[in-house]
Amino acid sequence: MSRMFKALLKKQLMEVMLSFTGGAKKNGRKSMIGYSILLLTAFLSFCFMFGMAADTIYGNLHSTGLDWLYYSLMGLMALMISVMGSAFATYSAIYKAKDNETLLSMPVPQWLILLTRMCGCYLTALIFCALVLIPALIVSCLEGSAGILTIILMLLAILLLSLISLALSCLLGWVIALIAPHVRHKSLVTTVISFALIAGYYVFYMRITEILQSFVEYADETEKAIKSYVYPFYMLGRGLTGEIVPFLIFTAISAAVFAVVYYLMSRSFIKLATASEKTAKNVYREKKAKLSSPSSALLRREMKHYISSAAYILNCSMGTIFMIILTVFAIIQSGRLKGVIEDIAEDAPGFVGIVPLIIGAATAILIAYNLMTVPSVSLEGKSLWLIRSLPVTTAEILKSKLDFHLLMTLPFSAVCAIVLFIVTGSDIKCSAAVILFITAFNVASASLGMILALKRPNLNYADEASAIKQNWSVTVIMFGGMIITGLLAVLYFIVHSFIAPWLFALAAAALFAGLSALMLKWIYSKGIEIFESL
Amino acid sequence: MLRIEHLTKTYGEKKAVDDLSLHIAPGEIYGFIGHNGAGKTTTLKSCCGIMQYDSGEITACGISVKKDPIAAKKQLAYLPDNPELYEYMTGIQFLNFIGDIYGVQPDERAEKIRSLCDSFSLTADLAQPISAYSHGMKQKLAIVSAWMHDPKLILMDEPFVGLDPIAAHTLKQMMRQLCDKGGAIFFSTHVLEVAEKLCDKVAIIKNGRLIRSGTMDEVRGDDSLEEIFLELAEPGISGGADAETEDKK
Repeated sequence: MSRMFKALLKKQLMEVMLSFTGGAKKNGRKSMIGYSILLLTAFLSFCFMFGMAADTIYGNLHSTGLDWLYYSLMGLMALMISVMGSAFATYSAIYKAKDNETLLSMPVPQWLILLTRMCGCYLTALIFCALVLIPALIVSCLEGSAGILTIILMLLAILLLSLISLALSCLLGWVIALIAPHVRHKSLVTTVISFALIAGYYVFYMRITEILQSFVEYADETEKAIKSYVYPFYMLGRGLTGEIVPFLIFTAISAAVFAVVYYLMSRSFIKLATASEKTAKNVYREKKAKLSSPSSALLRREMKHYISSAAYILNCSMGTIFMIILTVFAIIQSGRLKGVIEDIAEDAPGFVGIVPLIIGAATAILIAYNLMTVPSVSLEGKSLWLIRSLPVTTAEILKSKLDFHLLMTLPFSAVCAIVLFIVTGSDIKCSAAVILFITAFNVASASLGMILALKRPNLNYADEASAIKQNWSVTVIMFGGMIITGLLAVLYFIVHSFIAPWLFALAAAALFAGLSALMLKWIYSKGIEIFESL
Repeated sequence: MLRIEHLTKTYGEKKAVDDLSLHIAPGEIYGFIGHNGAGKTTTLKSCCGIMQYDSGEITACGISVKKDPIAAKKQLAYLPDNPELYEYMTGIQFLNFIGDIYGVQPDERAEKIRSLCDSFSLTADLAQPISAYSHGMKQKLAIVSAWMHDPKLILMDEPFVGLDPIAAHTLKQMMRQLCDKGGAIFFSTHVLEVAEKLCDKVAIIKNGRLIRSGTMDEVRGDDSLEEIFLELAEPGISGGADAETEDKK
């Protein structure tokens, strides 16, 4: 049995590694080093972000002697992030893995298949929990309140909390698997639920100071509430302040939660893993089709793939979702926004002039959150033969992927920026230059995604979500957008006394137009060769 | 209709196809047989422009697959052994996508879809997502999509695998009809009885090299195709024909 477990675990870990690296390993040592550096940078950046949040929470709670509440809250935050980040991936990895039937046909007990699949998911949960709890530990160490015992217990807590997170995301995955065969518009429902979770997190995050103040103000009630509603986290908080008994209780609860969920899942694994997704049969009625050009047929193909997959929507178009939210927010809160700008302008009169640049930078960051081109080549998967056998050029195929990305990003970013310009009463000349910058940045972002897609294709994925969430390419684009925007901001503050804001925006637009031209040249020459050799 | 001249394709050190030449004339159903890994799929994929080859020349309907792949692809259709289709589309969406790519006019398209899908009893399932199709249904849909634009040449890799007997019979009829109208079909198969009954000509490939080709009578002589194949593929198994006899053509 242990030999079987080892073999299955090895296979599972190889899949997890492939989904993270997207084939970096097979591309040589240099690639692996580059990938490792990038992964570490991404991990540290997230740690920094959660560290800032931890610092705010710690500052509020430590001074009033509520250290246990700090650990409880950070534990809750870690759990929330971890469950949110891995619930749908868990569903895909456990129930929708393409090799489920192969493994089930082998003399492998189903509980062992489930256990090894869960081990793969545990790694993901562990990473998410560590992202929040390691910065939380560092903050309390730097403030001098954490001793050796707390450090050891915190490291153990990360392992245990990941177990609860795994159990909860598996439970969510299990619920999704139960519902999925009966849901007609599955990707829509999944998208809406996920979006509600994300929105809930952001609302919580935006109101964190207010919430913390009320915690401090009503410390006794808070303690009672946490004890009643999230008892394990009360124990975790107490445990991490050095009380061994509560920590042991937390350990027992974590193990029990995992055991119960594992028991529940193992009872229905075969049934759900092999469930047919057939819902009510759609009746075919013949309709006269319209003849479309090959290019619009290819573009529609990209669109159909996108709307059919909740993972694709959620992982690759967060930028568009945020742009829509920002646009609506700017319209609703226009008076407040204008007031803020006027207040700042009273102290710094030059501020009004750079408002369009700030809007441009903010939009650019959101543009970088759209990643449609990144998994587009991998998503061809095993049906790549089809498009390659049709009478369309590779250039047309790649163009349809770029066009789809631009279609989903450019109009939303332009409308968002224009609304913000109008609301803030920005200078027209500078606003026009920023729109040019946004356009060029959009093309550059889509092109970079396409290059990464061609450089790191993963056509043999076990489940579609792993191809979508693939590897470091996502990190490159997202962090690349932020880093580039940051660099542009630094550059502007160096040269702002010599160059007008509109001219700076125009220069940035020219720079990105030039970069886009270079990248497009690569895509339509070397990129075509790569695609044709896949 | 299809001319393969000195086709060579290597994967690293291994020659998958080695100096293979084959001519398929209009009206011919040409069977391609060989053991697993002999180079059948590589040859078929090279012919339809999916795979780039190292040397040689392939022309479909007189058009070079290498020099003008788009024009060549417009004349042909390819059906792989395991047709992985776009699971995010419904059957009808997929057929309309193929229709748009080949520029099949709406009226002609509707007529084709109706008649082809009816012959495979697929019409009622056209509104279903392809992800809900069985392997056989996907195979049928792929066949319909291959026939939809009236190709002159159809390349098929193990087309009968996964088809029920009725669908297999329908496909055989369609193959013959296409060739009777001047088209040509080049397909690989492991079912030697099918090759024997259906094909006008047959080619046997071993380790990437063409070892025999011609009409059924030329290839098998007085023996059965199975005996010839076994002897050529594994000399010594059958006591029939001379092993490694080169193509008489």
